[in-house]
Amino acid sequence: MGTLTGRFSDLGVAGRDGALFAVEQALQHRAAGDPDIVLTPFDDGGSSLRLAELVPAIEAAGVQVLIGPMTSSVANVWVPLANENNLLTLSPTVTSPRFTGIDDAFFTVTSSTEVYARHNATFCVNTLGWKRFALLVERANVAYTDPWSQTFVRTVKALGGQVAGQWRISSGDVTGLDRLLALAREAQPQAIVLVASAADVAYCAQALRRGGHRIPLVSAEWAGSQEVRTLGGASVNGLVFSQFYNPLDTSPRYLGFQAAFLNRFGRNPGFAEVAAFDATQVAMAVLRQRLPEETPKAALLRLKSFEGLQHPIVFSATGDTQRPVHMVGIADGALRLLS
Amino acid sequence: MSWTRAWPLRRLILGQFLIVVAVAALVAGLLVVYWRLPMVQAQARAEHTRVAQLTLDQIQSLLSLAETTQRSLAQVLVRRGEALSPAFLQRAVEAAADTELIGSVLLLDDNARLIAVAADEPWSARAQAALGFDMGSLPSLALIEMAQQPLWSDHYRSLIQNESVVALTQRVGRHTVVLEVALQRLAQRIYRSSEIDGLLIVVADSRGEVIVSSRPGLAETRVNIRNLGVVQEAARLRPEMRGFALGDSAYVGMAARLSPLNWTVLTGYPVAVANASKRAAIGISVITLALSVLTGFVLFGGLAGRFRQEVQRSVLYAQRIAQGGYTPVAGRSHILELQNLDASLGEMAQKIQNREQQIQAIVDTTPNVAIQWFDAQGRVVRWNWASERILGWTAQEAEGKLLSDLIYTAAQQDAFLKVLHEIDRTGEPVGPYEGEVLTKTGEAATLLSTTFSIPDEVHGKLFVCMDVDITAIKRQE
Repeated sequence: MGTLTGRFSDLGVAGRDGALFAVEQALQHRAAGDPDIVLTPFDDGGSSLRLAELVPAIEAAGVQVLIGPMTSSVANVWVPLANENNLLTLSPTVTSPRFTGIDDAFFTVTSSTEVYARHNATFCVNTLGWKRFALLVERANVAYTDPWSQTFVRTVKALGGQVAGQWRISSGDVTGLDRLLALAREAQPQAIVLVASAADVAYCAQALRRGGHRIPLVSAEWAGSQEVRTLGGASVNGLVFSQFYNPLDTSPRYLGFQAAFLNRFGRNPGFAEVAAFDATQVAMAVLRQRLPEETPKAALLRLKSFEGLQHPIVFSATGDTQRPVHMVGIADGALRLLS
Repeated sequence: MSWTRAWPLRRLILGQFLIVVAVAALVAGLLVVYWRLPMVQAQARAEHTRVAQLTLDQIQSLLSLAETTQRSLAQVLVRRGEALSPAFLQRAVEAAADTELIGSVLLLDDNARLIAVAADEPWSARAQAALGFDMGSLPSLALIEMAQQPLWSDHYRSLIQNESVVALTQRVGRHTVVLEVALQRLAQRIYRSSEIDGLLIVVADSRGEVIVSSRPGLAETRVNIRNLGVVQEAARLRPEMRGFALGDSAYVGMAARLSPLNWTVLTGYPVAVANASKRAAIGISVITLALSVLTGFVLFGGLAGRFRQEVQRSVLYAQRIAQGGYTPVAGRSHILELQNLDASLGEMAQKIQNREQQIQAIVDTTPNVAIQWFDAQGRVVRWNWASERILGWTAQEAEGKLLSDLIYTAAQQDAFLKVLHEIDRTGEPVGPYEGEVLTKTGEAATLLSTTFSIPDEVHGKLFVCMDVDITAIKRQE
């Protein structure tokens, strides 16, 4: 389940394709006795209101493990529904801390937003030496953007830095963005932190560079897709962002995955594809290895440790994982691994 | 006489009919399998090819419109040379964008910066806000550096239109012109002229992502169909009609490749619809055959029944004649040959009856030849009037008795039975021989007798004894 249509569909479609790729590969190498895996996509349309309509369809499809949702705002409404229906939910990309530390049906294969935001802030302050920040925070996905920005601000302050200002932006509202960017610049930060989608980050970078402003830009993992480079052009050179995975991994396993994915979908995988692939591998391992009468959740907690594409995935008793954080930058239109 | 196996007429006729049906079914089956079904498949293939080509032509035509617009804009820019004011550029791109298809027109300088832009509502404000932006990473710009010809890109999210577009890019002197066509507009134009009930039309870009689809949800969720066998065949330029699954639905169809863009057009019908023609061909053949068989059974069964009934009447008539009855059986056949047969039987009966009456008259009225008929045990079966006159016993008294009860002594009876036995063995008549008998009144009579056998339908064989009374001659002697 992901946002397959609408403004934020890039993330949902990427997640769907990552999950689909995992299932297709599993079916290709299916051994005797393996359960018959069927992946059924559900489009939440980016709206939590639509979830109530999806529940009967999910029940009717006989879903045993749900891969998704992809955004925290949808997860906010979905998690109570999943608990009510006792449906194991494995989210590839939801990182909001409000879902961690709770013994429920919701599991995630990525660390909490706090981990990424803290790491991002620490890297900016300690490694890049920036002390003063302005934040532009997208308002449509507050379940993700709020904890991320709050953790970032808290960490910066804890490390002796300052937050010159923080503003909420509405995705696609170019007039508002221009005005808020001007306000952010006037606060004279050393870097502007954009907690927004790839398209909005690209627009902000374009608008700032057009004005000749060379101020460094930082973004959250959400913007770390190919789209930010396509739409941002040279303007996103120098952008720094935290990431769930290492896009420059040269291990044979990852390169093999990347080549096979490119062959199947005609494009390179991004963070959402990798995370969804991992989540689906976990789901399939649970279904394959669960004992008779054992619920998927109980099986997952019993197995606990799984092999991820780049890192082992180890679940805590409350269904949380600690995934390594990578800091990535863009230079001359290409990604660079910073840490 | 050799015995030939015989069949009831009804079974014979229906058997013949079944042989005809079996041959017809075999021929029909072969025709369906080797002629009709391949023809149905060829028709479906032709239809898919036509629809795919039609869709390709439509897309090509729509894209040609954009290409023509771009050529015109390029000519204007080239004609003006270097004297291009921002106001002129803006007017030029606004004119180019003034078509229903093109959503936005971007003019980039030699650093890929947006120097003029025009877009339809509601994107015009967003377009103007993007002036000065760096567009160097747009998908088609990397390739246009090396190409002299305009190039179409894969789809991407437009910074201006904020939705998926495909772009036509061309270098014009120091400038680059980018025309962005929203996929949704392209899709609407294609649907408008390609609406055929039940037909699936899918257009996928070079990556295999669905960008236009007549089935809701495929394009919106950017389903990737690159792995479908039917699409892979089209990529190898060997379009082939195949079954494929999209979501939870199964289709049969084929794909074709749009060469300049490497886009794929996939057309298909749901399996149930696609197989309908095949099922109809088989169904029509089976129903036709079944109705033929049923009709044949009813007609031939009725005909055979009637035929049997009418032949049976002729047979009955013949049997009646054989048993000595000569009255025709009631009714008249409607079959000419049977009518002739009945007429012949009638004539035959008439002749037999005449001869019988003649013989009967001779036998019954002759005064001096006594004739008796005997079975194998020597019992009197028939006794004519001359026997009554000569021997004194009436036919009523004599029939069923042995001659020893009438005119013979026991020794004569034994001798007579030996004669009968001899005739039965040899088939040859015995006589004439003389013999003395006692009449009913006790008078002695001398008879000159001849005995022979004749066939009989009741007893199998009868023995006839013809006597002439020669008592008077003997007395004179």
